[in-house]
Amino acid sequence: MGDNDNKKNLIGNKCKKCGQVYFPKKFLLCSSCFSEDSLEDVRLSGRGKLYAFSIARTAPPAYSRFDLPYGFGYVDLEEGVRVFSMFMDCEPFEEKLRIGCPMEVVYLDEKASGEQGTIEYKFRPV
Amino acid sequence: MRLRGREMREVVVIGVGMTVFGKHPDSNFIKLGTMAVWDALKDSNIKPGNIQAAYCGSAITGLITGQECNIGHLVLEQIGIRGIPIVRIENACVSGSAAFREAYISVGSGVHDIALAFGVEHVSGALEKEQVMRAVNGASDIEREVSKGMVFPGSFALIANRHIFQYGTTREQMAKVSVKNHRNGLLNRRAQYGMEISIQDVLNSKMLTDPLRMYDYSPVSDGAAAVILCAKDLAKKFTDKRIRVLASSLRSGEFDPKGDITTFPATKNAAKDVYEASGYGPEDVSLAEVHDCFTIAEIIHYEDLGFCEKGKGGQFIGEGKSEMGGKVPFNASGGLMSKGHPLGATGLAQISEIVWQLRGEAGKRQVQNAKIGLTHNLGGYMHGDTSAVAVHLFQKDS
Repeated sequence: MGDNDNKKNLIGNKCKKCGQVYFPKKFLLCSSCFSEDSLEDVRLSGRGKLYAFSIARTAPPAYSRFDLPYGFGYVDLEEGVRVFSMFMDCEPFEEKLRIGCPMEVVYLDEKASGEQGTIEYKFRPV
Repeated sequence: MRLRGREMREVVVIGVGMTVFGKHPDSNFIKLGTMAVWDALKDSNIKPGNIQAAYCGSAITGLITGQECNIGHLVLEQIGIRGIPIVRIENACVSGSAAFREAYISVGSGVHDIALAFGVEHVSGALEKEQVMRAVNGASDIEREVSKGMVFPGSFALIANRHIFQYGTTREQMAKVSVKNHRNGLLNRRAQYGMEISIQDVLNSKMLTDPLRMYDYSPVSDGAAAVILCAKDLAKKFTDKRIRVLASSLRSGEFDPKGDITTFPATKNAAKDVYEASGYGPEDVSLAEVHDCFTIAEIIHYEDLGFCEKGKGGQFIGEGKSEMGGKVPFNASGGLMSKGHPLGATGLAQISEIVWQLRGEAGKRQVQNAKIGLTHNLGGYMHGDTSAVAVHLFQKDS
């Protein structure tokens, strides 16, 4: 739903009235200050810091499109918004995944798609 | 009695009932629900015709059986409860407590004199385990998180890693929650997984989502529980075993896009509500049944409910304060982890346990001198916050 455009950018939106940034985008109004017509698209840097992580060691068959084990978690972007994502290039996990470490977005050429959606990007430690 | 500052009439619990929680592949939700409701009716000495309104908590049974509608009606028709408002309540794992709260409001407001709240789930009829996982994933944001690689327990794994990072909580402290609750379940004949395990057993169990291992998880179970509420002034003619509802709160999360995930604002808000409404605080609580869906969750609930300072939850279990015989026993029933977790029935099973404890009917797991009991039920997780929390306080009616 508009997570990124075809130029491979993370597109969020920002409230012109209160400054709140959203990703994914809010579509009708700013849910912080309730303003209508105040949201404008913003291109997010795709850079941030690792807020929290875990590693999925097992997953039900519906997740078989994801190679196990995989890292995942929240990245706090420079723009002040938290994004959930899978991680790549992060093994060995113990070494590469540390809370607070710099992360960047990577757009995938081969999209992993499944019945519940498409993964178009992942984050990796810088 | 006051709810959100408004005067309500006094409401008491006059009867409770609960099936054994676990795997009942040969049963179904109608049978399980019927057994729990019938037990509660017998416990309260009332007839089916006395029930004036019924609220049914059920979260995922409809998704698995295809019976998305009529769950409450199908159960109650077995007992001859008909011609009254019957409403199903869905609020993820808080469905049961949310049903209880609606029944409480309906009696407290004076609209009904006697109301039933029950919860039921039957998931072991699922053809594949994946069907259950998919249904449980419905308690998160499928488009934004599940489709991007989140597994439901993953949220609590992220929370656990942050709690370790921010407060130095240890794996051993988390394991102790599992050891305690599995041991408590040994004394509960209705529990699914009562057993004696060691801290080492927990730490050696299979790693699922770091740092959470198999014994840090609660199961998804089959089962049902029921509670009957009555206006206090009418209840005396039915039973002497009356338990007062002191206070009730249900809060959704705050969903702060930059919030601290090691705390649940909904728990703090709901706890504040019930402490203010009742005039009692955590220091007055004799025992608590809390939502131990994962070991780290129980540790956070000690903090958010005000039983210890923020960040000291690991120490609270580490020092044995929540053990049977400790300062405040938490999850004497075994909790979700050991008693089992049929989503929509869980909140009502927690209330049933508190009712038995306050009546002095809890047998070998009786908490001595139990005067005030607290239930805490949490459900759903989206955007870094829990979807909903219900907290209730109960006291013996003298």
